[in-house]
Amino acid sequence: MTIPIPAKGDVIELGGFYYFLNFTFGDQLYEAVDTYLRNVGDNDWFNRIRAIHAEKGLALYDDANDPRFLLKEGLFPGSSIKAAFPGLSEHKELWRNQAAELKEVMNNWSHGSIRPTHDLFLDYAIPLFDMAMICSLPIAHDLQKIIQRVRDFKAGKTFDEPAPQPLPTAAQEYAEKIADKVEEEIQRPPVGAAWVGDVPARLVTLKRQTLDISESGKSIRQEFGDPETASSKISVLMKYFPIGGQLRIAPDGAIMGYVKGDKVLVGWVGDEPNNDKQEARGFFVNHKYEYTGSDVIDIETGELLSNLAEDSVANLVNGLKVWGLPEGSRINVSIYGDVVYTDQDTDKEHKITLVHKGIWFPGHLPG
Amino acid sequence: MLITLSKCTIEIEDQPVPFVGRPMDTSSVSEGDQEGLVTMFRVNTSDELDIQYGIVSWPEANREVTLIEWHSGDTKYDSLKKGTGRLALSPVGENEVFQLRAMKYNSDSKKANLANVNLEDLGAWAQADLSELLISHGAIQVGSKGQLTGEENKTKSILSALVPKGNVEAVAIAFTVTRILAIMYDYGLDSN
Repeated sequence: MTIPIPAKGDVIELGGFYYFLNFTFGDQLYEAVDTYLRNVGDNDWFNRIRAIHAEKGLALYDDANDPRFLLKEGLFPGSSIKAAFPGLSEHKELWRNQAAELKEVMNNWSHGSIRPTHDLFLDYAIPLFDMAMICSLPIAHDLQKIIQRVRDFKAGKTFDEPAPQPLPTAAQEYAEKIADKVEEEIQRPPVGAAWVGDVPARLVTLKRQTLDISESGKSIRQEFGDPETASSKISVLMKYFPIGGQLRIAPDGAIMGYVKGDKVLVGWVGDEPNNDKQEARGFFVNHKYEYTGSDVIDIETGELLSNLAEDSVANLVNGLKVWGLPEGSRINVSIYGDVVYTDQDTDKEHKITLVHKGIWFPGHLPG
Repeated sequence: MLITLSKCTIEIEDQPVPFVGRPMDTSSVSEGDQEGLVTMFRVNTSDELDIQYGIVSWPEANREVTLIEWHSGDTKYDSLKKGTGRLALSPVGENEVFQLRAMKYNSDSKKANLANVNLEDLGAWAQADLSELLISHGAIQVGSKGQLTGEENKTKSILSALVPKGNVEAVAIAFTVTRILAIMYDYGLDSN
C-alpha cells in the first residue's frame, strides 16, 4: 500500500501514522531479512530464533515482521542471522546504536505511553528514518516527506487537502486507543492539572497550624485513610497551600483548590481512580530518567533528583532498589506520577511506584 | 465602571458618598472622626474573593484607600479582612503620590504585610505592563518616590506612582494589584 501523508497533524492522526509506519518498517525489514535467509536455504529461521529467544527469557513475538523482534535480534552480537540484516555488516556500531535507540522509543509508543505531539512524533520518526537509511529500506523516502510535513505542522502551517486514504484497521484501532487516553485525561486529569467541571459545593479548610482538614470546624482527617496515609496526603496538599486555605471536595473525592487564582485538581480524599491498575495511567512526561542505584538522574540535564526534589527522596530510591530495578535502568514517569520501567529484554512495562511533585524534579509533573 | 484586570474585576462606583471615620493620616489637624467622601470599588477574583474598598477624601487629611466591607473569600486573604494594607496618598503640588508596596507573606511572622516589590512581579500579577496600565487610567508617572517628588529621604527609592489629585481608576488598579493580586500569586511564598 502506498504511504499517505498526514493532513491534520493532530494527536489522533499521528498516533495512527506511528502504528502504520512501524509495521510498514517491520514488513520491509522482514522482507529483506527473509529474502536473504531463504536464498541461503534457511526457511524456518523465525521459529528457530524464536526458540532461542524463549530460552533466554526474552519477549516472544508472534509476528516475524514486528520491528522490535527484528531489531532485538540484530542487536545480539552473537546472532546467527546477523548477515541477513541489511546494513549491519557495513555499519556495525552505527546500526546497533540506532537500533537500540529506536527499539526503546518503539517500546514506549507500543504501550501507548507517548502522546503523539509533533515533537514526540519527530523523536520517533527521525530515528526510524535513520534506521531505514542504514538498512536501505524504501520507507526512508516516504519518511522524509512525512517528517517534513510534521515539521510544517509544528511551524503552524495547515494544509487544505482531502483527507488521506484511511489507514489499515490496526493503525486506526491504535489511534482510537490514543484518543481514549486523551479523553480519559480530559475527564480525569492528573493531580496538579486544571480542574474540569463545576466548583464542588463541599467546602473544607486546610489548616497549617494543625496540619489538618476540617469541615465546619470538625476534622475530616479520617476520610483520608489510616493516620499515615492521611498525613501523607495532607502534606502533599500543603505543597500547594503552604499557609493552608480553603478547598472543595467533589462527590467522587476529587479535591479542588485555587492555585494563583486558577482552579486546580490538588488531590483525592480516597484512592486515586485507576491507581490499582497494573499499567501506567496517562502519557509519559517529556523527560527521560536513569536509575543510578542510589539516585535518579535527569538524562537531559544530568541533574540528580536528590539535589532538586523539595522533600527527601530516600524512601523513593530505596523503593526502587527493593523492587529490584537494575542499576542504570531507564525509567519514565507518567503525568499521573506513575514511575514506569520498561524491560528491554521482555519489552514489558512495569509500574513501580507513584511519585508526587514534592519528591520529583521540580516542574516535571503538573502543578 | 467595570475594569477587568488579570484574574479579577474592579467595579468602581460612579459617585462618591459621605463617609465618616478617622483618617490614617496622623498629620491631620483635627482629632477624632471626620466626615469625608468615599468612592467605593468592589473587587471580585477568580478564586472567589469578594471585597469592597473605598478611596476616601478627607476635609483635613490626605486621601487614603481603606477596607469598606469583606463579603467573602479564602483564608489566604485574611490579612485584608483585618484591614491590613491601607494605602495613603500624599500631595505633591497639584498631584498626589503613593507607594507601590505589595502584600508579602512573611514566614517569620506567618502573616502578610506590605513590602517592597518590583515592576516585573507587579506586571506578572497584572498580566500587563503596570506603568503603562496605570498611565492609561490617568496616572502621570511611575518611578522611585525620589524621582516623582524630588524628595531626598529614606523612602526615596520606593517604587511609587504619581496621579492627579482626585484620580480614582489608577489608584484602584494599583491597590488591587499590590494588595489582592499579590496575595493571590503567593508573594513571599514559592520562590518569590
